[in-house]
Amino acid sequence: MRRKRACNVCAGILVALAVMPGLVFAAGAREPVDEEVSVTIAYNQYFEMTFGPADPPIVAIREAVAEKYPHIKVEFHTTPTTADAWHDSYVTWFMAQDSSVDLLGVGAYWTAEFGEAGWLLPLDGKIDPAILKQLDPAYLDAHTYNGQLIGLGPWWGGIGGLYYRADLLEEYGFDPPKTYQELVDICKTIMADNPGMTGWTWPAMNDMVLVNRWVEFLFGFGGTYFNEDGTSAMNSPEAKEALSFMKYLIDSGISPREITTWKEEDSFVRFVSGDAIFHSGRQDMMFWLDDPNQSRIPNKWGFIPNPAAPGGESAGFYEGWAFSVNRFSRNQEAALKVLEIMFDFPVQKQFNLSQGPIQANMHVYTDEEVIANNPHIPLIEQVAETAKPPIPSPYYTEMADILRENLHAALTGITEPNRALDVAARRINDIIR
Amino acid sequence: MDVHIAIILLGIVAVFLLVVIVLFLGLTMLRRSAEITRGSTHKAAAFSVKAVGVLYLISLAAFLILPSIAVFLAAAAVASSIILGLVLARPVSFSWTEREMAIFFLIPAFLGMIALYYYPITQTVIYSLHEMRFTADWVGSLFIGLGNYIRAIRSDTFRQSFVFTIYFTLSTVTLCFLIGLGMALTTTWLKNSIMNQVLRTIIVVPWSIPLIINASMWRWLFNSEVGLAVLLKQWGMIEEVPVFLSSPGWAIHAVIIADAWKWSPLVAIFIIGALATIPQELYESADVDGANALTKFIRITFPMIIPTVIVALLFRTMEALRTFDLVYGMTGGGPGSTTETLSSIAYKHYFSYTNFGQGSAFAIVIFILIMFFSIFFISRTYKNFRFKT
Repeated sequence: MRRKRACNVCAGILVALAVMPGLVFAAGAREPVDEEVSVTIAYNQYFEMTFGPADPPIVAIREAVAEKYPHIKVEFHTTPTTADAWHDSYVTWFMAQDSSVDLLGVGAYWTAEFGEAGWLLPLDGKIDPAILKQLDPAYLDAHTYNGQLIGLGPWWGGIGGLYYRADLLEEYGFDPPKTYQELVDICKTIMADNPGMTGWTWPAMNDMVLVNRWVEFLFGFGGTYFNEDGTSAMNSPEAKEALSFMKYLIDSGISPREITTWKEEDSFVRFVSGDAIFHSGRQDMMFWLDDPNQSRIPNKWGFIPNPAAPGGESAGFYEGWAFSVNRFSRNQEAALKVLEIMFDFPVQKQFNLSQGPIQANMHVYTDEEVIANNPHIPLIEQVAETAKPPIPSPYYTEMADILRENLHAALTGITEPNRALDVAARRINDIIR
Repeated sequence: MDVHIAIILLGIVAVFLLVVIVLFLGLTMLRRSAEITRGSTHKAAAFSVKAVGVLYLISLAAFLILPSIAVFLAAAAVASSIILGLVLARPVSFSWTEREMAIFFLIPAFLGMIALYYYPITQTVIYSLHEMRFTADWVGSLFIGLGNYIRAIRSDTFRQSFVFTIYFTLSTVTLCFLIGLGMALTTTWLKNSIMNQVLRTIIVVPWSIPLIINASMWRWLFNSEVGLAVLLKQWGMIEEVPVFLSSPGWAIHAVIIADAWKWSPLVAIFIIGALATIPQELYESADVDGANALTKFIRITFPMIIPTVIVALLFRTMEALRTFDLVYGMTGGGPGSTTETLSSIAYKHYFSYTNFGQGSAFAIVIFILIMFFSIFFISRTYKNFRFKT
C-alpha cells in the first residue's frame, strides 16, 4: 500500500516537472516582444583593444550605432585569435545553421570556401552606395566570389613587406635591396663584421604563416598559383627555384635555422631587439617600432616591398579580414545597418587611430589626424601595390595545409625541395579534380 | 544566465521528461498486453502485440538514421501500445510492478545512450559512405560506398600518421607505466613520512595543468632561444643547441616526453590506490619466510596490482590513440607531417576542410583501432573483472 502511494507520488512529481517548464516556456513566449534588436559581431580579442589615441573598435561601433539606430544593441562574441581555430569554429556554427551571430569577421582565405558553401549573405544591392563609394574596389574584389560581393573589407588588412635596418645599411653604404641577390650580399657583408647579427628573419613554423611567406617568394621568383590549364603550378621551375632559395637562406646561416619553429610573434623578436638586419612581416609592426618601450631600434628602420629575383615580381601577401552577414542570422536587416556604420568614415577613422591597419575606406588615408598620429602611413602605399591575395579556391585550407607540410619538410631537410613541391602539386591536383 | 537560454534548457528538460513518460506509458501498456496474450489462443491479439514491438524497434533504427521520420513511427508505436493496453489489459491499473519501475528508471539512461552515443556513431558511419563537402546533409549527398575509406588508407598522410600514432602510443604508455609505477612505489615506501604528502601533491601537479597550456610550456622548454638546451649550452654541456621541434627525431620524442610527463601521474594515482588495498599480512608472511624486497615486489605487489595497472594502461592507450591537443600545440604536426596524428587528420577533414565524409572515414578508422586495443586489454583481464562469489 505504501509502495503504491510512493509510486503515485513519484509519477505525480514527474508529470509536474514535465509540465512546469512547458508552462514557463509558454509564458516566456507570450512576453511582449521587445523592440530592441540585438546584433552580435564575431571577431577576435583585438576588437576590445586599442594601441592608440582612440577607443577600442567595439566601443566606437557601439557609440556610432547608438547614435544612428538607438534600437539596435551591439553584442560582441570573441573568436579564437589563430586563423585555423577561428575558421573551425565558424564551420561548426554554419553546419548547425546557428543564428546567434549576425556579423562575422571573415578572412580573405575563406571567401571562396564560404561563398561556395553559401554560408554568407550576398551583399550586392543591400549596402548603401554612399558607403560602397568610400571603399577601394580592388580590395572588395578579394571578398567577392563568383561575381557576388559577400563581405565588406578589409576591416583589418595586412600586407607583407621587408623591414630593414636603415642605420646599418647607411653605415655600410647600401641602398635598400630590390633583389634577393642584393639582400644576400648585404647580409654577408654586415654579418661578417658582426658575428652575433642575424641576416634575415621570417616565420617558417609548420603553420599557415609559412604559406603566407611562401607566396611572396613564389611570386618573387616569377611563379604563380595555377597553370593555364587550371592545374597547380606549385612545382613549376620558378617555384622550385623559390623553395631552393628559402632553403639556401637557412643553410647559409643568413636566416637562422630556428625560424622553422617560429610563428609570426617569435620571428620579429630579433629584429625588434636590434639583432637582425632584415625581417619579413606585415605592416602593423611599424606602428610601434619607434616606441622605445617596445623596440630597441626606434627611427633606425625602413619598410619597403619585398625583394624579387630577375624575372619575378615583388610580392606582399595580403591578409584581409572582411565582415559578412551570416546567412542564418535572424537579424539580417539590422546586421546590414551595423555593417554600413562599421565601414563608414567615422568608425573607420577611430579604428585607424586605435590600431592602424590597412583599411578599405580610402578617406582615412587623407585625414590629417590619422596622418599626424601615424606618420609612416605613406610607407604602406608602395607595399600595398605589391599585394597578392591567397590562393583563390574553395579548397584553400586543404591546399594551404598540403603546402605548409611539404614546405616545412623541405626547409627542415626531411625532403628535397623539388620533391616536396612535386608531392604538393600532385596532392593539390587531386583536390582540384 | 541569459533568460532565453534558461527557458530553452527548461524546454529541453520538459520535452525529455515528456518523452520518458510517454515511452514509459507505451512500453508498460505493451508489456501488460503481452502478458495477457501470452499463451492465449487469440492469435490476432498476439500478432498485434508483436507487430507493435517491431514498430518500436523500427522507430529506434529510424531514429539512428533519420530522426525526423522516427518521431512519427514512435508516436504510432506508443499510440498503438496504449490502444492495445486499453483493449486487452482492462481495467487499467495505476500501480506499478517492480519490472515496470525498472523500465521507468532505465528509459532515461537508454534514451541518453541512444541520443548521445549510438546516434552520433551511426551518423558518422553514414557520413563516411557519402561524398560530403560543405554540407552535413547526407540525404542529398552522393553515396560512394567505401570510397572515403579507400582514399584514407591509400593516402600518404594516413600511413605516416598511423605509424606515428602507434609509435607514440606504445612509447608514451610504456613510459607512463614505468614512471607512474616508480612514483607510486616511492610514495608508498614513504608512507609514514611528511615526504609522502609532499610527493603526492607534486605528482598531481602535471595532471592538473590543461593540455594546451602544457603544450605551450613544453614548446618553450624545447625552444632553441630560451629553452632548456640553452641552459645546457651555457653550462658548457653541449656545443650547439638542437632545434628540437623542427628535427624529426627530436620532435617525435619531445612530444612523447611531454605526454608522458602529463599522464604519468594518472597511472601513479591508479597504482597508489591499488597498493593501498594489498593486505599487510601478505608482506608479514613473506618477511617470516625471509623474502627480500625484490621477491616481495615480484611475488606479492606486482601480481596484486596487475588488474589496476591494466585498467590504467587501457585508459592511457585510448587517450594516446586519440591524442591531439598536446601534439598539435607543440609541433603543429611538424616538422613536415612527422608528428601528425590520426585524430588531427580526422579533425582537419571535418572542420578545416569541411569534408565530413572523409573526416568521418578517418574517425571510424580511429574508432575501430581503439576498439581493437580495448578488446585486447579487456580479454587479457576479463577474469579480474568478474564479480567474486
